[in-house]
Amino acid sequence: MENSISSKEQVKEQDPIEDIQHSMYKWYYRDVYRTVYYITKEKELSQDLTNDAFLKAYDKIQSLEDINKFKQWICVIAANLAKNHIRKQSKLLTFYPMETIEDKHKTEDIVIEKVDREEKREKLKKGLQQLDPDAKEILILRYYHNLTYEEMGETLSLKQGTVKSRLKRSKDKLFKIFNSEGEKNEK
Amino acid sequence: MKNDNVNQFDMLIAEALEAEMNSIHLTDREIEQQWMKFQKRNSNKKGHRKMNYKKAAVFIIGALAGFTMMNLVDIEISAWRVPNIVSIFTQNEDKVTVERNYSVGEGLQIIPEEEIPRIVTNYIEEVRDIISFNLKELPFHLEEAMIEGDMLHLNYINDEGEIRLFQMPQGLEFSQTTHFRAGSEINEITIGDVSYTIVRITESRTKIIWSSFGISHTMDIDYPIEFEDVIELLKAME
Repeated sequence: MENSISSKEQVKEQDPIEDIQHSMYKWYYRDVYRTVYYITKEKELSQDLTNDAFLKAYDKIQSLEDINKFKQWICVIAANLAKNHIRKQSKLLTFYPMETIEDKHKTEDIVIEKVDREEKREKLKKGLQQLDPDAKEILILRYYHNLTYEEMGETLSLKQGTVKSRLKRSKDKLFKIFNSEGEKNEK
Repeated sequence: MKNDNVNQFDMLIAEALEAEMNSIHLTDREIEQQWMKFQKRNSNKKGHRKMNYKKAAVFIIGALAGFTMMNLVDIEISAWRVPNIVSIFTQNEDKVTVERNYSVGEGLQIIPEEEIPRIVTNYIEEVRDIISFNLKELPFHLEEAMIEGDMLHLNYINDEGEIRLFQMPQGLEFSQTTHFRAGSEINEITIGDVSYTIVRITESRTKIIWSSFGISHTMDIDYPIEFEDVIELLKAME
């Protein structure tokens, strides 16, 4: 009898939409949070922006044509929110050391050959941390979330050509930092 | 980058990113705590959703009108008409007002704030790709560009200081009223077929307002600049 009352109460309290939202939240929270945190590097801010991303995604979910792409879609929303937040704060923070980095293209082959893979990865991590939010966003979407140019273009409201050129610029920046780190170590 | 290095570099990026992302730890408990916060915010949002349409209207009108002051006894200084544009300058002890009325372009849509897409970038190529109208650009370093629906904000930095350029398609029978502090110096100049209103608000702040081919433009120069240099700046715009 008690069981029957409690199950009725449960049924009464359940909101099917909220249940689905909760499941999706639990399922994708880590990916969304990591995307945001990678750009902002602030825990509380990342939690807030992650929730902003879920609010926005649930609000606009009708506009998502393929529900299987929810993860990529919400990660793009989250990355965009994080990037825009950082941009607004950018007058207070320094994010762009790239301007001072010399072009070391000529030495790129030597550097890549000489340093072993683990070291390279560590250097690349440092390089990634030095990138501006725009570059971080596009690299995360492409290399971590494995989005296609088309998917990135759709969700970022950019032409595919723009996505490609932005990705190329970001990689070039990273490559310059990577190589300049390599040369520093050699000296 | 050579092709084989490109592939190697791509793989390295993917590996480095994965390692970085996996090092960001989160417990299930933390996620549940955030879910509670999310539910709270979601229910608050539902309650406020109707208000956002009003906010959107205020937002757009605010962007066009600038800052306003109350209790005025206006004295009309001058008014003249160029094709499709009327500028009226009025002033009293407290302020100077510039009104510009236009009758060109397509209707201005009021879009709910939530639906206004917002893109921030510092690449002018992206702005050109996204913006559907013929935008004006300055020959300086673009610090930041923000696109909100049809509205475009360009922030430039040069050796002297900052210049902000705002532009957007204007509505049919469009009207813009901007108030400035008393003592502001106002000049009207025509370059080509375009009539520019140049307002020197303070020694280090100048605002220029104009309309061209159905696009409304406002430029704010945040450093001391001579009138002749303003004209050169306007001519240098692409």
